[in-house]
Amino acid sequence: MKRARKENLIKRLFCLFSLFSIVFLLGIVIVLFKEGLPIFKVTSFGKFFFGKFWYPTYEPPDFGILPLLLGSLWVTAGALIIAVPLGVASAVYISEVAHPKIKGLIKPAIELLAGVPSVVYGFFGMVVVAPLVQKFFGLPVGLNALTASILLGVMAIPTITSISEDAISSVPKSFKEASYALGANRWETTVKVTVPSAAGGISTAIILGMGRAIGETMTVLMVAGGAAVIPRSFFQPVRTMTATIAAEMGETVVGSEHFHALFAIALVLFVLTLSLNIGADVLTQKFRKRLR
Amino acid sequence: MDIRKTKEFIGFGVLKSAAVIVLLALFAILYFVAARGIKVINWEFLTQMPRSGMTAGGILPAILGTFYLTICAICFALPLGVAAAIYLTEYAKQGRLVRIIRIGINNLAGVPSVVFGLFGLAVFVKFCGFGISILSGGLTLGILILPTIIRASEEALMVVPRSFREASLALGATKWQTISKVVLPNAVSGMLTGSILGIGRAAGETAPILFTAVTFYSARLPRSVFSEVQALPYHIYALMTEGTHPEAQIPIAYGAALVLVSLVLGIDLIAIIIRNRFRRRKKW
Amino acid sequence: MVKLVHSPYPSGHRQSIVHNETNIRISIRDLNIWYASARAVKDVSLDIEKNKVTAIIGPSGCGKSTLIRAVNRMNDIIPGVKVKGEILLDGKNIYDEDIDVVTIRKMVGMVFQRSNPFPKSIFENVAYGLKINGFPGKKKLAERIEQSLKDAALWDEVKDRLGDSALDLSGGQQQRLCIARALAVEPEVVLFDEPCSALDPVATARIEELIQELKEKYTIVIVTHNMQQAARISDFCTFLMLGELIEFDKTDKIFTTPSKKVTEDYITGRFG
Repeated sequence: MKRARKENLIKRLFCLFSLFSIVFLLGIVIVLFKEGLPIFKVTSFGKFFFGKFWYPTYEPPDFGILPLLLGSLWVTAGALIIAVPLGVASAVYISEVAHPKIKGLIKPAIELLAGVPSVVYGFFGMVVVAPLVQKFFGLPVGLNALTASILLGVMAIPTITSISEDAISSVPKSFKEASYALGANRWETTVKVTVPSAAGGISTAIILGMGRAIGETMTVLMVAGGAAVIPRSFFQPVRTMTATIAAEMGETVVGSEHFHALFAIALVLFVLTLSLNIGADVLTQKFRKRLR
Repeated sequence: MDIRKTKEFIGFGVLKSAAVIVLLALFAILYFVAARGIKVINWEFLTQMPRSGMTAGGILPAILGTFYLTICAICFALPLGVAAAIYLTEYAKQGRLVRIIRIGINNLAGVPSVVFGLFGLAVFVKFCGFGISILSGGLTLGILILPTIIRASEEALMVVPRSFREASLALGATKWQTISKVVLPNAVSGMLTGSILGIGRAAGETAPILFTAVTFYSARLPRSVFSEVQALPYHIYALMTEGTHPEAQIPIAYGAALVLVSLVLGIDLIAIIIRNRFRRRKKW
Repeated sequence: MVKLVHSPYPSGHRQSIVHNETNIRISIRDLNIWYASARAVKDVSLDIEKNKVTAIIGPSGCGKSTLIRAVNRMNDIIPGVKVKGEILLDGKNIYDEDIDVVTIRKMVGMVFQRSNPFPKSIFENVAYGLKINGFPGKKKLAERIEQSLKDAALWDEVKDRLGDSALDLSGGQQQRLCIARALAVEPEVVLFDEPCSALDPVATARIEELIQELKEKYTIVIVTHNMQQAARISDFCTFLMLGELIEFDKTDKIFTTPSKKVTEDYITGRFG
């Protein structure tokens, strides 16, 4: 029985290790609450969420995150307008149209696109995309919401494409065969049978792509222009929640109101991405059940 | 009939152009970075300290810093990730605990990288007192790549056929003997791929190390895990946004970006190639 | 001494068979096995004699594999399996709380449906079971491996290339390697779960021959869907259908004068 005890011990040890992910996630939650909540001693919920001004270093300071929140949503929406059609269409192309050899080239290329560090996207945005946008639309500056959306869109494509592609290729062959047998051609089958059957998985992909865009930091920090004002057009500079944290955390005093305000922003961001993830998870479960 | 055929032709054409646009985006990025970066890269650029207030000289400290941070991250995340994967695939029975662990892993993977930075700042830099250091940054990056490593390791463990486990157990091996002598040796290459992908991710991240590890300029190379460091991604960011002499700094940023991209994508490419070869070669 | 053994269980599953009582190695008593909620084995009771080959036959899905995997508790590793009843190995119930599964599996070896050598060398495959049990001495280890390979009738074919990968062997050789690997740990009972289902007729014949030789030393239970095979190599035969034991008797009796109509129908190929 000594052996059994040893085996049991090993099992428990591994179980302990597997709990670390939860521990870290909880740790993040605790830290965000502990450092973020104190801001509500100096400002109200209403002022924090709906205040139109973010002047954390003024005297007295304004901690209204509405421009930042809308800035994040604004560039994310723009990114999705670019990423969803391109990402989903590429996924359909890869799984339904492309020759296996071409598929073998495109799939790794898309993985590489996901691997390009965000700071490099930001850099590329500053030196290439921003001047192009500026010239093309005749704007005073190229660092604005549009440039940020274009880059975030490209960054979200790999997420959307790879997850959509998984969903599309797991559509049972029998569905397609039934459609072919009724005289439909490949395009009609793709549009009317395959893609609708994979709709659940594609929605999951879009939600996760959205999460990726909303949480992205360095790119928007470098190319979105950084103006903390409520966005009214794609041609004006904006500032996102992530960029605010990254830009200002280095210059705050630990424990100051500004410090707590930045943690509170991170908490908002965390709740937002967590809901997106949970939403995606729920959708995936539902989708799986239905296909079974 | 002709209308249907035309529709099909146009439809597939549209899909194809979408894929082409995506590929073009990748090539545009790689082309611009490579074409201009290559002009500044030479042996001195890679092996010398920066000079004249970052407007001349090399990027050695940034390369080394990224190397140290990545090593630290992988040393932390690999044992944890592999152990978690072993528990999930070999020991755990479906149930509430496993569901909770999975929720933890999935959501950890979705946390924005800047939030990891704040966590690292609050916990490692302040609470543990490691300060702005390789250790703080490495641990933060380690947590960031943990889900990647767990998933890849799980996948690697799951492709080991059940018949191997049965054969071993039927010979009177204990569960742990079966895992350590039969399952792990056959999963090792897959796990390696996963950790390589994790390394690529860790090397390229900026936001998590922004307040936990990096400094724009240090006159000396780091001496211990408690030193603050320069890092390639942050170096690029700082050169582009904090510099006072853009005309001298942008070329350096191009060079640093090319080094970073080749490093990260080179690592990814190796992982992808190993994985594909491994998938094809599998004999059982 | 030969004597009539009566199962203590009433109605339906009563089995009577000529057994030499002192030679009984395994007694299965009122065994029931559930997968999730489906009952795969129903109230099965039977005795397995020492140094004899006992075959389990029946149509696919009748629970033969589940039954044989119960004898070395391999069903334990399948989630959701529940076992009720007793399996006495030399008089001791292997499902008792204080039993160490590992010990049971050392005493009861198993050869699987599809050969499953480890992706290691031939030598390392056979050595595996010995090494995990801390077998002392290099020379002794080599001797034991040679003996096991000889017992499995594989030695002459592989003695010059023990270092080669086991995956380079042919299907039949791989299966004999798996037999050698099982024999190396010196079990008392060897279970064969359709060992020839993936082999060609020549390789099958070799394995059958081998099983005949092995019964000198071991107690053998074999599951097969091939009735000719059961007729050729077994001493006792069990006919299972839908998880129930229909008939259990000496093989020649089952194949010549079965007492149940279903058995006769199955054996004469009217279904299954």
